[in-house]
Amino acid sequence: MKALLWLLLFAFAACLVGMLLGAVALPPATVFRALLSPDAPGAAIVREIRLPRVLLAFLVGGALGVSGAALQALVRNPLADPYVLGISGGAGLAAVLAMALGVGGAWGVPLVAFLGGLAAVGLVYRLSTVAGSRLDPRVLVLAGVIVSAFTGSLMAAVLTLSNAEQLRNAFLWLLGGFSAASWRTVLVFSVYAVLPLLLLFGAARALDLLSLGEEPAESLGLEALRARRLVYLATSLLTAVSVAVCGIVGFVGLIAPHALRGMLGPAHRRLVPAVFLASGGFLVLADALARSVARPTELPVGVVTALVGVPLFAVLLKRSLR
Amino acid sequence: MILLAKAVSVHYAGAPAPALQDVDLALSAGELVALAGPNGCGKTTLVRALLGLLPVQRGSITLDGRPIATWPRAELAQTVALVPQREETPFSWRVDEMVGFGRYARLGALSPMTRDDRRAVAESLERCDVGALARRRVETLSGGEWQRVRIARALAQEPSLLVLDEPTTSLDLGHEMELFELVHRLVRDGLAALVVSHQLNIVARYAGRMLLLDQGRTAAAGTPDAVMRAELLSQVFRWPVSVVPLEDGSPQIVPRRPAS
Repeated sequence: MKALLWLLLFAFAACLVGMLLGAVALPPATVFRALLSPDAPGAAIVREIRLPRVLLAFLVGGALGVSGAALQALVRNPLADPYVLGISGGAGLAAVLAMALGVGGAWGVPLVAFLGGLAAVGLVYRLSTVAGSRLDPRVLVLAGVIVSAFTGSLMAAVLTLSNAEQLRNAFLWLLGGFSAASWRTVLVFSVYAVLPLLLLFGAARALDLLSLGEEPAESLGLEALRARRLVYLATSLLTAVSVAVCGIVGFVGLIAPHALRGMLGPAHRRLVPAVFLASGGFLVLADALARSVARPTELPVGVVTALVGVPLFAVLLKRSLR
Repeated sequence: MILLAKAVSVHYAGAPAPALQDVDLALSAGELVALAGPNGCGKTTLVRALLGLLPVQRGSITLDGRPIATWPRAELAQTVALVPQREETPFSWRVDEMVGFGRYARLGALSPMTRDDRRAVAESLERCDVGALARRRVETLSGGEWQRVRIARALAQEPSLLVLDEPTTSLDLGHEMELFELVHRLVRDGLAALVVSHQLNIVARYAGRMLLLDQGRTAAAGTPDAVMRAELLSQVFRWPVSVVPLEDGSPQIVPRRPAS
């Protein structure tokens, strides 16, 4: 409980930092006044640009973090993450195709991306269980990388062949960013994300058991197949909606679960809500950094998360091979 | 009678021969039955079938008089507890958390453990003599401690039947005997136990009955004296053996070296 309060404080502080930073320099007092009154100077920037952007970054961060924690229990590997397992890539490819063909719109693209994410994770799973039914953690990561590379090149092909005018935008979207955040994207994201998030919070005990392996889990009373399907569907949907609203942001699902497991232990009843708050706060800070470090140019937020995530991934990989 | 299997046959899709053919098994409270046989003889298949983890083509398996296939997993877990042969977890669980998983089938999705759950966990830890390890992380345990913790987790399920799949594979002699003594005490207190084991000499001294499988069929079933016969065992294990009695009379198998 105490840890959750601290994380709540962290998340709030991160959002505060996110609100105070932006392309236009606004003094803190102006930001607070604009938050309280729609007629105050700067209100348009604060209420229509910064607030939805910070909220979206927080929700996407929380969703990707929870997905990472759930996938790590599911495949019993602390290296798992929606990006590493190729779900983001599959969702991204499907979303790019939908956009290039002009189908879907704001509400439809996430669903198309969902199908892409499911196809990718299915492929990764098939590839990593070739030898018998045992899932080799190393092969799993390899399969994820292969599928990601494949979807990445197909995405590049689709972007090259589609309208040149949109190319730069699509390229930026691909690397992940919240510059297109609006109240509409917050709404789309929230509507799609609320159910899978609740399902994963509710599946905390099932995640504990899944991390023990299929045979122990089933003998302890878990309907393992049903639980696995639920986790796949929920994490793929969360990843797909995230990709649809802000592009591919990698490694968010790796960082908070790893850090918090060390502090709170692996039990998912504590871990999952904590990861939601910490990952949300983390992505808000990463976004704040991305847009202020090279002002007025914005760095893609995926670059920032990769700078933190890749070294951690390397450390975890080394440890898992020991 | 807790468990009753009659003429059970299992045929894996694509396999040339059935993995199990016409196997019978009965188990009552306070009884320890050992399941033995050479590698690939169908021991694990039988255990998985008895737990409803794979479909049975012919024959019937009933638990407490009800067909095994009609038991929902959560209900089954409150009657039968399995200690699987191998188990690894990537996370650093505490021993009391690990034993607490034995309560999963009795807990709601989000409800905390009740006093009853905590009592069951504490009792199981004590019965397996791992109470002092409750706050330790599982990856810091020795092989013998880890096996006792997993048995404690099975006991926390408050089952009437305990199934152990080769529980002493990686244990040295002292830890192996400790574990069999523990199972023996649990059975004396009224539990039914099915132990899959290659350690014929040890199970012959603890089991009331043995079931010896060979190529999916019953090679012998009955008391250790009836099953531990030199000619039969030589045939089943495809190696010449002698059987000699220990001072307490229990039959012990000794593999022979071929005459050179």
